[in-house]
Amino acid sequence: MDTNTKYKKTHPFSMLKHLKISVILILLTVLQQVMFDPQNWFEIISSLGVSSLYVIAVVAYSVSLYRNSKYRLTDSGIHIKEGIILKKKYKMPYNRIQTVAFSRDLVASLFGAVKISVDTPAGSSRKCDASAYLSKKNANSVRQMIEKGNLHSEFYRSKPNNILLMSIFWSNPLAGMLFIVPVINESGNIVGTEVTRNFVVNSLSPGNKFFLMYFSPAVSLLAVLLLSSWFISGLVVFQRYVRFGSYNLGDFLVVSRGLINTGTIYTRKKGVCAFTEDQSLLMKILGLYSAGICVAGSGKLKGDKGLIIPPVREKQFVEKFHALTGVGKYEDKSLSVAKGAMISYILFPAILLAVITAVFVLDMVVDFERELSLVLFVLLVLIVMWWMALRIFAYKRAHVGICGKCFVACSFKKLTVKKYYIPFDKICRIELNQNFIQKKSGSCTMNIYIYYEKKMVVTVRQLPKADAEKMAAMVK
Amino acid sequence: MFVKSVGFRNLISERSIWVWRIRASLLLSVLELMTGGLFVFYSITAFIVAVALLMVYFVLILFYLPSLYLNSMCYIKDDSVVVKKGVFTHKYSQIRFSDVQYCVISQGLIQKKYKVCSVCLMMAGSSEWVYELSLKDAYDIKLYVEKAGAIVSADNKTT
Repeated sequence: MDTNTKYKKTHPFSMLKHLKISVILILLTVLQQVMFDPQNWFEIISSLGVSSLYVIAVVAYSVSLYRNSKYRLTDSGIHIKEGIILKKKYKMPYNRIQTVAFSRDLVASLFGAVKISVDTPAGSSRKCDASAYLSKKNANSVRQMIEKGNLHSEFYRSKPNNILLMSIFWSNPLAGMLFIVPVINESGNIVGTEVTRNFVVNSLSPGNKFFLMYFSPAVSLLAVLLLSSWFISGLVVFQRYVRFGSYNLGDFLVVSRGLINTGTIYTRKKGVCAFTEDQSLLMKILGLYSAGICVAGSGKLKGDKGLIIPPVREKQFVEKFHALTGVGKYEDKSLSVAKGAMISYILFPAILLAVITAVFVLDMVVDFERELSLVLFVLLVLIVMWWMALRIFAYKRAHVGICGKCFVACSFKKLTVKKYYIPFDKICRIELNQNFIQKKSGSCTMNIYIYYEKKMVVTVRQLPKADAEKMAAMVK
Repeated sequence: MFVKSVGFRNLISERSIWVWRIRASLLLSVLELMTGGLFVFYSITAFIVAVALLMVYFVLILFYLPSLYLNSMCYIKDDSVVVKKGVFTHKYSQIRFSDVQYCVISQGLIQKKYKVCSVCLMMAGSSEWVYELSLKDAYDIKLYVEKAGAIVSADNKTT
């Protein structure tokens, strides 16, 4: 009976989480102190009184939220009660839950708290349906409930050098700069400009001096900043994904990762909307493949991209992928894109290249920051050429097919070629579009709509229309 | 069919109009208070805004909210729940219980006084709110959703 178990409170660390969100309100008190500029004791005491009201309100809110958030585990589902003024009560049946994720960051582990996030196909595509901090003991009992009676398959642990390579691919200077720039900025504001100049800016000089042999100060500073940012971003990704492992546990696909911030994600295999085989251009050159999943709950945790197999060599990848996903090795039927369709794949990058070249030529004529423009031009051309090469690679691999109980669609998304294995029951509909150029050539674009918590469409361009119609009919 | 047919009884409570009127009154009080603050600086503007707010309030409680209640319907039909709402734009949704992942029942202070609540039907990719149902009807809907979920789960296991 559901009424036997009592409601339990979450871990007190949840209060800190709410306080973290309210930190802006607490900073308002500091701002108020600064702007008010009290002149005498009376004013100091009265302004402190007003500030303390803010802090008391924020703390009282966090404590009330913590006291009013309770959960209960029964045989049929998770019962949750939350809310202060607007009280919410709901039950998430176990058979609807797709993903359960356990994550521990450094601060939470100091307090003995573990964050559990539960997701169903309902709710927001950006936030988990329910998440809470529980004590280690309660979190372990939840884990045991999931693992009870399920057989553990072979554990695939990724090598640290594969994760290091992946960290380099996935990190980008912009992400690193988001860390560096505020630190340099804030340290300057706190300690003063003289100290900033001596310690912070001058620390960039060695790098500057190296680049100064070949480039102007502005370009060398940019180069040093980009490289430092890339390094920091790579470090963050590495610690997030090191000790990456995946295995099957009965109906669940389990992924565990992390060194300082650890995470374990249990995903119900029946709920998976698509398995993906990913390969970027750099991975193609190095002969590496990676795999991911699209399921309600994947990609919502910090740093989670639905990865189940980090980049590995083809032979290892094929073995791991088919063991983990249960998808067949060979496609029963396959349909490639129409011959001669490569032009449509590279048209957009070619136009962009022409525009960049035109702008550069104009800049040479006008003679504005010649050296910086040259560096920017070379950088942009390299990026566009890389993008064009990816599109050519995508054209060669693009196809649709049937593999056992899955529909296969190989296309590209951003800078990665992705091969989707979509179970038939997860396809909402298949749409064939034809513009006036495609009408003349007899080709079409196939859009596959997938059952997911937000709109998800896989697009394969320039397929022969007649054959694509037959393929779509087979899926029906 | 596992759902006991309840005919086409509208599940939305008659007390919903009073809940909405009280909410409108509270909102008006807050807005008029802010207008009072504005009066110190711009008296004529504040006066015009206050009068406009009052007019909107009366139109709301005398005409709009009763129309909203008359056009809002929620009833159970076979194995689905039908939701109709809207005054100027009419919206009709028929949601099968088996498509609902779970229900969220929420109750504010005013709703607690009038013994009504709101139910959110959470589905894959969307959700639907039904306002001002009695607690009994809300829990009945929740039960139908759970039963439908259990049947779907059993069907999936056999296939």
